[in-house]
Amino acid sequence: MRAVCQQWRLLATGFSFLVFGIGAFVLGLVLVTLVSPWPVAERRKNRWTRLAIRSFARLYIRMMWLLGLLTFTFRNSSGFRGRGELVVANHPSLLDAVFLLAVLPAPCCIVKGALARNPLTSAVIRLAGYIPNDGDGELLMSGAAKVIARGETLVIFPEGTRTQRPAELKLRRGAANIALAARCRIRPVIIQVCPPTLRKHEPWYQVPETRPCFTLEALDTIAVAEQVDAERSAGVQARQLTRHLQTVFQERLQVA
Amino acid sequence: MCVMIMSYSKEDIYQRIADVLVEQFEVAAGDVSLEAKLYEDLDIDSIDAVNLMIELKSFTVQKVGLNDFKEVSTIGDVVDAVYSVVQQESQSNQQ
Repeated sequence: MRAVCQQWRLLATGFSFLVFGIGAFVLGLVLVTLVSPWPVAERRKNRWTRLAIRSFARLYIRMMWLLGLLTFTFRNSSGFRGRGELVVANHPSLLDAVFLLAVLPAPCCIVKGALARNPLTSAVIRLAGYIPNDGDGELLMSGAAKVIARGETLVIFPEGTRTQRPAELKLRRGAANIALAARCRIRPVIIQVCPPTLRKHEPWYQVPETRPCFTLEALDTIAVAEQVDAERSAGVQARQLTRHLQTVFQERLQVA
Repeated sequence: MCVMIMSYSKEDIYQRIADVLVEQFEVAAGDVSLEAKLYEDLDIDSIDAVNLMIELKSFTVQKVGLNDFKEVSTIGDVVDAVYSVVQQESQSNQQ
């Protein structure tokens, strides 16, 4: 029976990947043709696009749940509804972004430079007002701080890529630098996938033996000023804050 | 003809970089050397690099651009990049 289940999930996973590819493409096409031409402010277009993306993410997760591919739980749901916060999450699987886009109201994201340059995705990314990470740190910082200052929530995976070994989770300092520049609160989100699936370097057809459960927990926000020594340089403060965040994630992930 | 221009030596620049790294980026003084790689050995990221260049502005009139920084890998490279701007500026001063 278990083998049959696994076979089914293999098939359904392949189908889901296909649906994601086609769905994202069609959604992009629809958004670009329907939203772009309206003579309204850029920010309104951003919002419409983000809401459409959220609906797509929700529908997609619902579909995978119906297919028996996964279950999911959100803990401390009110924590996902904050405004003007920097949401930082660990990144155990390929689906983390989809879950975050489904649960957060209409966040701004920082997206891989490659996606922002890809002709298939660049139009939607621009329409959604997402911030491309093109390697220019200064530009990224100022863009991110501006978005947070006007009350939007910004999501970032501070590891910069998917987690390889949760025990050795290593954060880069970009998230801390953004929070320091924007003077905003940080909202850590702990993502756990049990059993693990779709990790880095793990092909889609390697489905786990049992149906994985995704848990997203919003922790209480962190007041940046309490974690850094304001007398020290920006470089030292970013390191202090990053160390604090790293402990928060490591403690939570070890308890589990 | 002979105009004396106050100019910085490579040693001055190196010393300043070493000080900034230790004071502002938690680098251990023992790890600082001309060959030390900023990113791999000293954990300096692109934001730190921006801040480092701001600190080094006192050596030059014009800003040492970050384009110069992209080809930079070791402390020695930073010294050379800043020094070449210092040289250019002191030459154009003499003319």
